[in-house]
Amino acid sequence: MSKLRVLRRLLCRCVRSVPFFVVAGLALGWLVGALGIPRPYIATVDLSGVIEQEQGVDLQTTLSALRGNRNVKAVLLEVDSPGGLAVTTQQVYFDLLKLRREKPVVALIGAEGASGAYHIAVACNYIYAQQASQVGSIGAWVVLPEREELDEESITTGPFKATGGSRRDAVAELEMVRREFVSAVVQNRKDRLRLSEEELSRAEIYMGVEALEYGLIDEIGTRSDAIVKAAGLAGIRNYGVVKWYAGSARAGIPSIEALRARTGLMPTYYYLHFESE
Amino acid sequence: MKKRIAILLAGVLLVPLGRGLFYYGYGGFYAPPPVGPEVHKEVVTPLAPSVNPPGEYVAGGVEADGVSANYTEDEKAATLLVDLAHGNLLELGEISVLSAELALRGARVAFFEEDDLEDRLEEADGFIVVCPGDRFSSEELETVGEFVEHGGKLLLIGEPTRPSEIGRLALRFGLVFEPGYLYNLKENDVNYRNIFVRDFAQHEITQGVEGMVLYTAGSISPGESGIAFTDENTFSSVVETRAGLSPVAQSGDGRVLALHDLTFMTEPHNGILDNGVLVSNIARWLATPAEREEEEEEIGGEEEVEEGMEEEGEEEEQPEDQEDALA
Repeated sequence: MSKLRVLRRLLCRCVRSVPFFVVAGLALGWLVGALGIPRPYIATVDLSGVIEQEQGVDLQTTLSALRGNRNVKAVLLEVDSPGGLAVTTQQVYFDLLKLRREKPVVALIGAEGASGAYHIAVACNYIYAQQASQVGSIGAWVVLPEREELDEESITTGPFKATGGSRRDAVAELEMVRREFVSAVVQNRKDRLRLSEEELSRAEIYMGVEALEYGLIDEIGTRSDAIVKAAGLAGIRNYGVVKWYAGSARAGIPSIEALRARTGLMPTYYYLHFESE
Repeated sequence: MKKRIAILLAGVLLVPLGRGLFYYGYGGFYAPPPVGPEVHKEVVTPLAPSVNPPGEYVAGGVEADGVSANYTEDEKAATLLVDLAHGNLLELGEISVLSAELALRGARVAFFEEDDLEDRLEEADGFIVVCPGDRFSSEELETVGEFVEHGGKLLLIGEPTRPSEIGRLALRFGLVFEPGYLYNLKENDVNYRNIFVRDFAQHEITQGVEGMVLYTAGSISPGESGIAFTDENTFSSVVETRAGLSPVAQSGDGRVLALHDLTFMTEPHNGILDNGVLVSNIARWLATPAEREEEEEEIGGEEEVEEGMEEEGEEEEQPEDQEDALA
């Protein structure tokens, strides 16, 4: 009993003492801080290889998750891709614009940020590249659909049911796809751009130093530079860096023959850079 | 007690504040740039300006007797020979429009596949060579050269998308089918390779042609031989010289016509702007029979020889008659 009484007296004295309140205040403050002000992070997202439909879906899911994650204050998009399907590229591009409304996104172009990959990169607040990075190829491809072969056993209800339109329509649609790309570059790069729309439409590939000269990128820099920039735009420090999406395995760039083989009666549009054979 | 509560509250407030300063400093808040997804909602569909609006019916102009309303009785029938003997990169359907125009003028279209070229050209008024995959031999080049010299007409058609041996034949007549293709990024028919041509020299081929569209065309040198010219915004993918890019040209004597595009004369491209007029003019030019003066002289000589052979005792005079006839 006496021990309990001693303990009770000791406790009462402690609770009434100033140091106790200091410690309690600090502890409570730490708890409130940890819950209300979590450590900020910069998430890295890989965009590598040919942009196919599957990777596009993964990227869109990632970008959507990043938008909703309050701990992620900025995003680093690491680009090393020759582009891919036009429709997938456009979907990722628009999702990136939505993400950019809420938190800064910085692009870092590695060996290649061409065509569709560059289309996506222009949605970012800031673009880094290396001196020898390949940047540009602002244009689109289409493999014109095969001519429809008439078959007595298969009948359609309209002349373009099988093909979706004439070959001439496909060329006109290709022009629309091209204009969308050029428009995206002009709208996002704005005063930084030092090329006309006509010059952009030449679809040239530029080295990193040239791309900097023409305003296609913002700076020559490394990954750490890009991370520091992202942090600066977000106004954060003592942040963590977390790999959010590792990207798909880098598949080989399909040849024109392979693209032709995929094209049936319907045309498919690509923002893709590869050497002509 | 108040003091202790104040200390507690200070701890609760100051620690998060310190944490905030530790992670965010005085950097301020992120201000997103103004461009968002809604900016790109309007994308103008590029309507090809040169396509006739749907629903516009163009009469065929064929009379009940099968003769075209455009066909004039003054135009005499001619025989045109189409080369198919040199691995030509051509589908016959691609010259159906030209063939139809020739048929409307009563011209006869024949195909050269395996026979002797010299024999076939003797019966022809015009020779049409499209994208030959195989080379013309030296003898054949000579034969075609003589055919033209004797009044025959030669139509040479090349295509940048179909590398061929047309250049070797064209060079015989002082024409060069340049490598590469023509393009215009400023003004085109929905693609930079579909160029407008609006500058023409005075020539029977370009009569009534105010504008045409060519589809992945090439240029032909020298510029002085040109009868259709591109504008200052049209470039060659290979040739550095911008001046005098001519996709349609003729040789000095006017008997050789060279085109560096085939697509414009195929359906539906022949319906764009005045492409059809150009095809019609080419057909008219081809369908006009050649003035084969030397052949007529040869025929006259043979008759003289035959007459001479029928009469006895005049064999010694025959050579003189022959010489007179040939003179």
